[in-house]
Amino acid sequence: MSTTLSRTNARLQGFLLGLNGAYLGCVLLGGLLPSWPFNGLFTPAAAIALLLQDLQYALLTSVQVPYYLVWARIGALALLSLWLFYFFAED
Amino acid sequence: MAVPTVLRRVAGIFGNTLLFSLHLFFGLLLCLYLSYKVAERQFTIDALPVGIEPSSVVLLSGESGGREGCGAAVFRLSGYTRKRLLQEGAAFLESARQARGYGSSYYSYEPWQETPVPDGFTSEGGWPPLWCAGIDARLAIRIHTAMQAPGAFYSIKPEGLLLLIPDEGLIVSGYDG
Repeated sequence: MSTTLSRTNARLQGFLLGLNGAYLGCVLLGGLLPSWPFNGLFTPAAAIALLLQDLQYALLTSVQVPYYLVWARIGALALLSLWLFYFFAED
Repeated sequence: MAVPTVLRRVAGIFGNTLLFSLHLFFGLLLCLYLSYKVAERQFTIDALPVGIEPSSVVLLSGESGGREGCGAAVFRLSGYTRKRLLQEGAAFLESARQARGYGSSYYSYEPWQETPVPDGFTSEGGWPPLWCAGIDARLAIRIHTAMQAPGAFYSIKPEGLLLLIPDEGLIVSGYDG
C-alpha cells in the first residue's frame, strides 16, 4: 500500500464516511424518537470510524476528492434508505 | 539522510495500513449491525400471528444473555387491522393464533382476551420487557395504561405476551425468558 489511497479505496472510504455520518445523524435524530438507531456499542464505533476518516482524508489527492464525496453521498443515501425501510416498510 | 527518509516512508506505510484496516473494521462492524437490525425486524414480524398487520416500527429492542433474553417490539397497527379490531373486537382475533412465519408451538398464541391483563404482568413496577427494551417513558405509560384498562386485547404465548391497543393503534410484543 502506498502513502496515498487508490481510487477504489477512496470510493470505499467515501462510502464508509457517508454510512457512518448518516448513522450518527440518525442517532441524533433518534434522540427525538424511541430507541433505534442508538446502540451503546455501535454508536461509539461509528464515532471512532469518523475520527479515523478525518485522518485518512489527508491521504486523498485532489483528483480523488470528487470520487470520495460522491461515494460519501451514496453511503449516506444507502443508510437513510435502510432506515426508512426499517421503520416504514410494510411486511 | 536516505535511511531516515526510508524509515519514515516505511512507518508511514504501516501507519496508513493500520489506519485503513481499522477504518474498514469499524465500517464492516456498522454494516453487520445494520444487517442484524433488518433481520431482527423481519424475525419479529414473522412472529406476529396471521391477520395482524403492522404498518411501521416504533421500537424494537431488548437485552440478551446467551439463550435467554428480554425485550419488546412495538409496531403501529395497519389502518385495516385497526378498523376491524374497533368494529369486531376479539371476534376478529379468533383465528390469529399462530405466528405467520413459524409453525412450532413456541410461536402459538393462547385465545385472545380483553384487557386488563392479569396483575402478575405489571406487578413489578411495570411490564419487565418494556424496561429491557429501554422504552421511552411516555410510551411505556400509554402501554401500561392500556394493559390495566378495558379496550385492548392480549394473548399469551410461551415466554411472551402480545398486546393490541386499537385506541392507540399499537401492537406490543414482549418476551422474557
